[in-house]
Amino acid sequence: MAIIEVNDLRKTFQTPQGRKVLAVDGVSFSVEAGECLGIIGESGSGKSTLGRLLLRLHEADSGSILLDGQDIRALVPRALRKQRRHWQIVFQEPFASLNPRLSIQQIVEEPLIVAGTYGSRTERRERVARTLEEVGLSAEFLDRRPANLSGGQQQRVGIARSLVTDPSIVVLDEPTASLDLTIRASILRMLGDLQRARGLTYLFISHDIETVRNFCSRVAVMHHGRFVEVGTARDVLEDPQQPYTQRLMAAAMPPLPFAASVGTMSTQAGNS
Amino acid sequence: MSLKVNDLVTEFATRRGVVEALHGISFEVGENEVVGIVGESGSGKSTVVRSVIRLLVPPGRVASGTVEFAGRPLLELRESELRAIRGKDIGFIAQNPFSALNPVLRLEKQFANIAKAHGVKADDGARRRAVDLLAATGVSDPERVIRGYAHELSGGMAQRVVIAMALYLNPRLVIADEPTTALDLTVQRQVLDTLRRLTVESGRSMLIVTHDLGVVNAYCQRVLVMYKGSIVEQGRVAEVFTAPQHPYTASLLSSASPPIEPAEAEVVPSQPLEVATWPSSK
Ligand SMILES: Nc1ncnc2c1ncn2[C@@H]1O[C@H](COP(=O)(O)OP(=O)(O)OP(=O)(O)O)[C@@H](O)[C@H]1O
Ligand SMILES: Nc1ncnc2c1ncn2[C@@H]1O[C@H](COP(=O)(O)OP(=O)(O)OP(=O)(O)O)[C@@H](O)[C@H]1O
Ligand SMILES: [Mg+2]
Ligand SMILES: [Mg+2]
Repeated sequence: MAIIEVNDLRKTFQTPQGRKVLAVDGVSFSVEAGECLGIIGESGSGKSTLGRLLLRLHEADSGSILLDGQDIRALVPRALRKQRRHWQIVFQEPFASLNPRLSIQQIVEEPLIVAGTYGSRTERRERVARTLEEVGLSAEFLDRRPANLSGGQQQRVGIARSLVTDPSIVVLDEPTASLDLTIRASILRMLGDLQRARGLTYLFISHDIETVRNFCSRVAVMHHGRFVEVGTARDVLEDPQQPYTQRLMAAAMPPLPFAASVGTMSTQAGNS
Repeated sequence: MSLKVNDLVTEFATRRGVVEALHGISFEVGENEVVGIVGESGSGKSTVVRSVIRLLVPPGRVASGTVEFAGRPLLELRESELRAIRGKDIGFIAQNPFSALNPVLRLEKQFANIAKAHGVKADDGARRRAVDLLAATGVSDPERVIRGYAHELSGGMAQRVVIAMALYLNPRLVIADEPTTALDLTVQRQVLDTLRRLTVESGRSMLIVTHDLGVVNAYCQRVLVMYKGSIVEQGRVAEVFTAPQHPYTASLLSSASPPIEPAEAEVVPSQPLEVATWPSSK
């Protein structure tokens, strides 16, 4: 059964200079429970706007959004607030999305407090610590402020915050852009495990086509606010029909030289 | 030599006492050279570049070591002297683009302020160069974008605005901390080509932090590998990547996914756009 159903969604931004930007232009799609839909597309094509509209962090101009069968655009603020814990987002800008005055503990705990259903302070603290550990951050980070974390650590705090309430739908907006390959792999593995264990549904926004190919079952290609191509990851990425999609994929870097001695390391570590 | 860092030790005062974040870092960036820094998340890459240009977030503090840029001891200069260098002789691209942008000023005003801060008249030529730089980094409709505000930008657009600002006054050295994380491959290439053209190919240099080994491979001559606050390996890219000496480098290389096979489409080479040289190339 489709857990996300979007029909003819539109969003226009009005700038202070009176200019109008049509950021999302009549997008329709559905996502089955437990599925991952990847969204790719050039910079400025409307991917983040779509992610925010879906969870009503922006108000759409028109169109309908059903999440878990509920018409999210019709929910009154109080009801929406109550449902938030089921629908979470990892923002593209890790640092900008973390309140600089709060500790990491307070930031990750906040959705639990908003949801109001997560028991005592100690229970919440434990849950926060456990979730942070899942993204590879030890208890030493609990009392720190966002500014005292590295970029990749901030990004993982954002991921922990989105998962702490046990949501059913998560919008992941470039969730691994600031992570090195090893940590990226472990985060994706964790997200994949959660998806299988709890039937989590993801909207996975990324410009990293290789990651989308491995992580998503279906892919939508966005261009000027519209979906120009939707299909299984294999069809879209192996055999793109649209010239635009082909262009997106055509700029791969030259291959890395083969590392001859991988696995048989000498131990000459230290500053050279 | 453009930049020479010697035995840099940086520490953070935390509640649990002082933590040493960099344990004696030494490296150089030569003229006409692009040097890459790779390493695990949290290994100290941003701390290195922020220590060098003295933009550490408190309670960070350089405890010892020297940094020499164009013969001047950066760590010993007065704050005012350093401000004269930052933005003019050294262009800095921060890891988080939105923190580098002022939310209440139009972008054109922010470009003009950079010029003024360095005693350069923000005339028509100045504006031309800003627009050209945005175009050269693949921002479509730069004339329109520059009249707007930061919150109107998508993540990838913001990243390119910050890059254009760093290149604006023709710096001798560009320090870029993860400058292309929000960009798709096509644009990433165009941006890196532009950075290369306006730095190394013009007798300038660049220090670039990235977790993308493909970027290092394609754009850097030398690479530093960081692990837990130390440089565990440095050398020419081809050598480090074919015969890594440190286990961390090896594991990094083995986790690199095989390159994406280009779709059968015409690869449109990024057009080198004309960028107005202003105020004047040195
Ligand atoms: N608050 C806003 N006011 C005006 N224009 C906006 C606003 N937010 C986004 N836009 C514009 O809407 C378009 C889509 O932006 P969006 O952030 O959704 O792009 P994106 O696909 O996520 O790009 P990126 O890959 O660079 O993150 C862009 O042209 C952007 O400039
Ligand atoms: N202001 C600070 N106070 C205390 N600790 C800090 C501060 N800034 C950074 N750290 C810590 O120092 C270490 C190095 O951080 P740094 O930002 O240099 O990492 P990085 O290599 O740039 O990582 P990333 O790839 O995730 O951006 C991290 O463990 C971080 O938590
Ligand atoms: Mg975006
Ligand atoms: Mg960093």
